[in-house]
Amino acid sequence: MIIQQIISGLALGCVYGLIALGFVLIFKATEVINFAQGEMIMIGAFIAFTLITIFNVHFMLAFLLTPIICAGLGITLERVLIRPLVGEPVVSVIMVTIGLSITLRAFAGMIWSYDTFAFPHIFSEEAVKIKNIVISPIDIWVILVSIGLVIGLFIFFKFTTVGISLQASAQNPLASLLMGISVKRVYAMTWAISAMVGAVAGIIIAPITFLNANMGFIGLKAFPAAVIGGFNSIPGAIVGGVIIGISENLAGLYLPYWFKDIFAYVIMLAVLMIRPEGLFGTHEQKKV
Amino acid sequence: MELRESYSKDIRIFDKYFKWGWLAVLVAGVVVISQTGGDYVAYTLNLIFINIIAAVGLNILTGFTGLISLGHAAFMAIGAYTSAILTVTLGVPFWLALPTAGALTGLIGFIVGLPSLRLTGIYLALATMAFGFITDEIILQWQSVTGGADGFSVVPPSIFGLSFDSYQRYFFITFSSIAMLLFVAKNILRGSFGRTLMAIRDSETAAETMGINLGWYKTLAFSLSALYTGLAGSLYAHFILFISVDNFTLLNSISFIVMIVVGGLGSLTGSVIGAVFITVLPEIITLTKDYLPAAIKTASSLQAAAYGIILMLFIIYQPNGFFGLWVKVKNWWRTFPL
Repeated sequence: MIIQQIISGLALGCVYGLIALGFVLIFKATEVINFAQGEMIMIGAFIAFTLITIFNVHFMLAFLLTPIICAGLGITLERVLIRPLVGEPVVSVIMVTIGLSITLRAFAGMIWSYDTFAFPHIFSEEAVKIKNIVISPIDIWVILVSIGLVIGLFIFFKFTTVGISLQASAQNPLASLLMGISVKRVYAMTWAISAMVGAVAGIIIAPITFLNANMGFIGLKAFPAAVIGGFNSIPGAIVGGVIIGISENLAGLYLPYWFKDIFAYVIMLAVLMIRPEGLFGTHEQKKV
Repeated sequence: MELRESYSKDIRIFDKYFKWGWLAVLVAGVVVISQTGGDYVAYTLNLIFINIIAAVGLNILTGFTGLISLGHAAFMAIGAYTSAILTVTLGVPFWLALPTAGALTGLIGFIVGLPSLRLTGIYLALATMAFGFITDEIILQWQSVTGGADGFSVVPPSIFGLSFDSYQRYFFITFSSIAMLLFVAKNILRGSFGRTLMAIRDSETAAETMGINLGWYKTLAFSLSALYTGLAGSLYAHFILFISVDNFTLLNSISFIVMIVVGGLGSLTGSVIGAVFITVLPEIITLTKDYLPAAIKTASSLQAAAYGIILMLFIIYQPNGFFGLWVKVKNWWRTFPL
């Protein structure tokens, strides 16, 4: 029973982690939280859904096309909404992203209605049984995709010139501008990458949860994951997500069942009190 | 700009005396409209006043002190439920329950504000958001006291045998509350306390260097803000007569933020304008619906879309809100044709 809960908590945790990755990417580069990341996931899932059901695109092709479309959307949003606010207080940018999340949800409701759809996918429905532990294939896929994305992003930020320039401009925009890095392009690229990660997350999450204009609310559960892992650590996002997922399931098992829903926020508050920079985050001392 | 030559001139409530006259005209007008305009007008006015109190509360925290909160609906819920439990379950009279609800919410605000010394910006936003979720869940699960998911029926208040059971009568409670609370807020904020908060907002380091106890004042700002919001919650409970957690969600917290952003951060007049605008926005949408293309007109999420777009447009193009716009127009007019 306990192992079963841990395994399903692991998959759920990877779902949270995938969403938290989007927060972390944007925070790393621009020190801003995108409250609309959950909605980016919803939009990604709906675009894939439209491609598959209306344009009869194959699932794998949709899996490749959707991130590209979403990257375009990310670049546009950054250009229109975030670029004018460079240098403004963090509070302003947070409020703009809150406004964006409300707007995206409303538009999605207008376009795709508020009905719940079954997401067409190619994963087998038959559960894998090892001894007496049941794992559904989609859970395995979620875990694999999460690990793959983290490794990919880690390599991208560590070893490619583009990735390193992204990190440089996050650390010191002025110095990197003097080094010939276009900070504007970096900002646009960060939003594009985060939108792509959001799209991948949306396609992989939609079969598990449901496809609905309100599915973006799951993004609120990913905040604790990002806080626990540290808002500027990519592996931290997934680790934080897994911690939340497993502890949430165990809380449902050992504590009163209703505690499950808010347990993530209780953990988040505790982490914020004790170590606001999270497990893997680095604390930055600001110069006056 | 006109010159202010002395401190007493700087802290005056109105810079020109004839503005007191305008205020009297406004008060008289609102009273007449509320009593003669029918149920619907009185209902809207009550709702506007309650929203103004909550908006002023949030503006003290966000506009004047620079701390963001995504959990103000929870403060409103605490005020509403405290007042409801006191009057219905325990039989405490309304005139006592209202300030008690405010005081208790203020106390909880003090406790919630304690971590604000450590947490800034986004982390504070997330912590207050978590506070909101946890409060909602506690109300939902504490069924024996709060009624849980079934909600809580509240009775109309009566003060010394006088029952305030219609919107027109309840108007006098909300109106006197808002008059008093706005006056108190104006006086607190134009004095040394308000200036301390603004100093913290503009530069924490500079404020601390000047000898301001950051932790103490930030916590006090939280407490005062929660007190106002709790009073708004109590007034809301006795006005709407049925409360449940659905009235106090994250979206409600966000709508308070929209009010103060649209009205103008760091301005009491702004809070008033913002609360009025956002409360009557659904009516504006209904009125303009006929001129919109058919595809948009029928959408159920029209109001949500309008909220989101207004919030984004104001922050990007008019960060000082309607109040900032008004100041701009006024200055342009005064210096005309230069």
